[in-house]
Order: sequence, then C-alpha cells, then structure tokens
Amino acid sequence: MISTRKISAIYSKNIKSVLSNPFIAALPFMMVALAFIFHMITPEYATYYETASTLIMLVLMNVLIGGATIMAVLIAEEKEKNTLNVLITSTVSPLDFLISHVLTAATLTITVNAAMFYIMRVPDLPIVDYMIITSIGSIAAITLGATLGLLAKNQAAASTMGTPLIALVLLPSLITDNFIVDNILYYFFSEQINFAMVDLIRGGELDLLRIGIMAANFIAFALIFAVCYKKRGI
Amino acid sequence: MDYAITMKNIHKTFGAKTAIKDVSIDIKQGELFGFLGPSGAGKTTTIKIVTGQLKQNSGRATILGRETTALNHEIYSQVGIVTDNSGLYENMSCYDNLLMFSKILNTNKKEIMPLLRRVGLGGDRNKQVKKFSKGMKQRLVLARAMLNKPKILFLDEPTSGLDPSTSIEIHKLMLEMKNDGTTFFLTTHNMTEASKLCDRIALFNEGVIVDMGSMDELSQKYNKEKSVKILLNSGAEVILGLTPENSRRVAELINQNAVVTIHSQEPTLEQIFLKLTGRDLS
Repeated sequence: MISTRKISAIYSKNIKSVLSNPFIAALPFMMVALAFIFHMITPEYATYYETASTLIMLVLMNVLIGGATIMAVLIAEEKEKNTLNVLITSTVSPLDFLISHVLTAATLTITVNAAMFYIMRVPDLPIVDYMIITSIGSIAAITLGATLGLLAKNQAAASTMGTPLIALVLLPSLITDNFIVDNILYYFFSEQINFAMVDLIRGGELDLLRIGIMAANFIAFALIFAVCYKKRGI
Repeated sequence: MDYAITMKNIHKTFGAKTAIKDVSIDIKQGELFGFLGPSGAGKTTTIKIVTGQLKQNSGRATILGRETTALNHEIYSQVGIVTDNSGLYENMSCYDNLLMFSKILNTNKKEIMPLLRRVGLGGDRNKQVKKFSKGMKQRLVLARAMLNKPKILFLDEPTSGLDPSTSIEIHKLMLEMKNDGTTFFLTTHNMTEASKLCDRIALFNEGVIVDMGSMDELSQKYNKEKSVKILLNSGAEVILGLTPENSRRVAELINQNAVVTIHSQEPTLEQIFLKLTGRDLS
C-alpha cells in the first residue's frame, strides 16, 4: 500500500537536499541558462516556426537529459551513500521510494519546462496544452531514468548513462526519411512530444493518441524498472 | 518459548566461497546475544540474512515469528538496524535526519531531542552530519535505530573505531534498553564488549559456530587447569592449581598478610577462541 506520509517525508528531504548535490543542481540551471542563451541569440527577424523549433529542442533536452539524469542520479546517490537500504528497512516500500523520487525529479523538470516557456516566448502556444504534453513526457523520461539509476554503480556513472539519450533528440534530424528509424522513433515519447508540440504550433489541438503513446511509454518503463528491481534488488 | 530470532541450518555461498555453513540459533525475547568472531568470519552476512537484506541458499530464519525472506513493514517497524553501511543524509542536520525518519516511522517528534541528548548529540542538533566525526555518526545511527523503540536491535560492530568513553556510553545505553525488554543481536570482534554485555555468546569462525553459551558456561567449560594467580607484597606473582595442598598455602599467605590480589585463572574469550580455532579475534 502506498503511504502518502512516507512519500511526503522523502520528497521534502529530496527537495531540501537536491540543490546541494552538484550532479543534480547543475542540470536545471544549465537548461534554464541554455534557454536564456538561445533566446538572446535568436534574431528578431526569426520566424515563429524557428523560435518554436528552438523551444521544442530545448524541451526535449530538458526532458530526456535533465529528467532522466536527475532521476538516475537521485537513485544512484541513495545507493552510493547506503541510505536506500536504510529506507527500505525502515518500512519504506520500493513503490513509496520510487514515487517520492519521481515527484522530486518531476518537480525540477516540469519547473524548468515552464521556465523555458516563459523565456522563449512563443506567441499563441497554449500553456495548458504545452504543460500537459511536456509533463507527461517528463514523467515517462523520469521513469526511464529510474532504471538507469538502479543499474548505475554510483552518481558519476548515472550521470554518464543519461548522456546517450541525447541521440533521441538528434536522430530524427540526422537520419531523415529512413523508414525503419522513423517507425521505431514514432513510438518513443520523445518523438511524440515533438509531434504534439508541432501540432500545437500549427494551431492544432491535443491529440489523445500522442498522449496515449507517451502514457504507454511510462507504463513500459515502469515495468522495466520493476523487472530490474526484482532481478537486482537494491 | 517465544523466540525473537530463530535461524535453522542457514547456509550461504557467494560463488564458490561458502560464507555461512549450517548456522542454527534461537534467541529469546529480551536476550542480548553476541556473535563473536574475527573480521571476515561471516558476521555481517548473518546480520544481512536475518534482517532480510540477503537471501540464504538454504535453511530457515525468522524474526518476530516471520520468515526473513518475506519481512514486511509491520516487522521492520519493530526492528532497528545499525551496520557499517547504515548511511546518513550528510547534507542535512543531525536533527533533520531524525525528523525525516520520525515522519516515516510515525513517531512523536518530541522524542527526538531526548534521544539526541541520550547519545550525547544534544548540542549538535543543527550541525550538518558531514561535519561529524565517525563516533558522532555512529551515535546518530544508533539514535535513529532507537527512534521507533524497537523490539529487536541488530548491531553490527557498533563500537568499532570509537573512543573508549563513547563505547562505554553506547554500552550503558544498550543495557538500559535491554532492561526495557529490547532483544539484541550484536556482532563484534571485541571480546571485552561481548563478555561484559552478552547473555549468550556464539563463537563464530569461517562461517561456522564453533561453540555457544553464556560467558560463565564457556569459561567453565574450557577451564581445564583450574588455578589462581596471586600477587604478593614482594611484587612476585604465583600461580597455584586448585589442590588441597595449595589451598593450605593460600591460607598461609593470607594469614601472613602477604597477598595483594588474588584472581581465578579461567580462560578469556580470546583464549577460548584461540584454542577452538587456532586464530585470534583481531
């Protein structure tokens, strides 16, 4: 059974201590700084679509590299400092532990997503729809990061393991018109964030299929985490 | 008889290496049980198995009547664990560390300060744990394990590397808790600690219990050459076997007021261990 009391206790601890961890604190600040830099270097004559594309790229970087890495490092830190064992033997269930850490990583990632929205100022982009898409995508990425954290030996390894995820941002633009790559990537949450944002930028509405694929990604990653947890333990 | 901890024919291997061979123990509620053995004997592995952190290859272990392979939150809420890998949140203060666990364990936060004072950390409540010495951290881990007033406390080398005065404080605390009914499972390689605190002691070497009993039982069992050591006024030491002839000699020395001290010569745990295993406890 899930305990909101325990989740709240661990979440509060995480939020208090997260900014003193250089592996974690650097990522949100770096993402916000990147948004400022891109906003400043985007010329005034840039088209609406150019500015929107920059925002999509930044969001994908934040969701994939920021969200997944923050989660991986949070879990690896608990393992490395031997506090995970203490929590599990202090009546905290693995699910309470996972939820409290997902909430912590989500708080940071979603806050940065919101900050990017205001920094990049893409006119006519509806904030509610933007936040729904990026938040669901963030939670899927964070759940993927949980497995990376479980597999990583320490915080340094966890932060390195998140780096290859950048391929999910770059692949669609590097490999164009490749049937196999396009079809595989279509079912990744990162590609669905991309498509859903393009829909909104073009004046379209939220597509439930895209939300469904991202939610399916989240469920699949949660199952992978459960299998890894069962096999490896803590 | 209600046992707090039971282990029956526990066997554990790591690859080709056997860590624990056929270990069986029953520990009564309120007992302070010592697991005495040198480093690498398998003491920590035993604690990990009995606290559900590691699964045995064969055999059966229970704590508070529940299989250790299926421990639930109800059991963990009645247990405290202090091992060398009991981590602390080093960027948080001493008080905040306990406050977090108080929330998790649903205990009254008003009990945190008395507990910190009890382990000698009352004046350091706002200090970040990363600034603590090893001894202070050890005392904080102990305070955390005591937060839920556990029925069983597992202590893995709790005073290892601590200064003597801190060790004495921790021993006092343990005896107070024992008087309140707490069961202890203590692993140590410190024979003084074991003989001073434990109701029963298991001598453990290379994954095997070589003997087990109370300090008195063990020392009597291996006290084959019964004798006394006498320190005389002259500074000389005399060792006399317990024979009728020697008893007359002892009486004579006492009558002559020549005796400074007189001690029985039963073997120490160290000597018993050496005799049984051919190795010392360090």
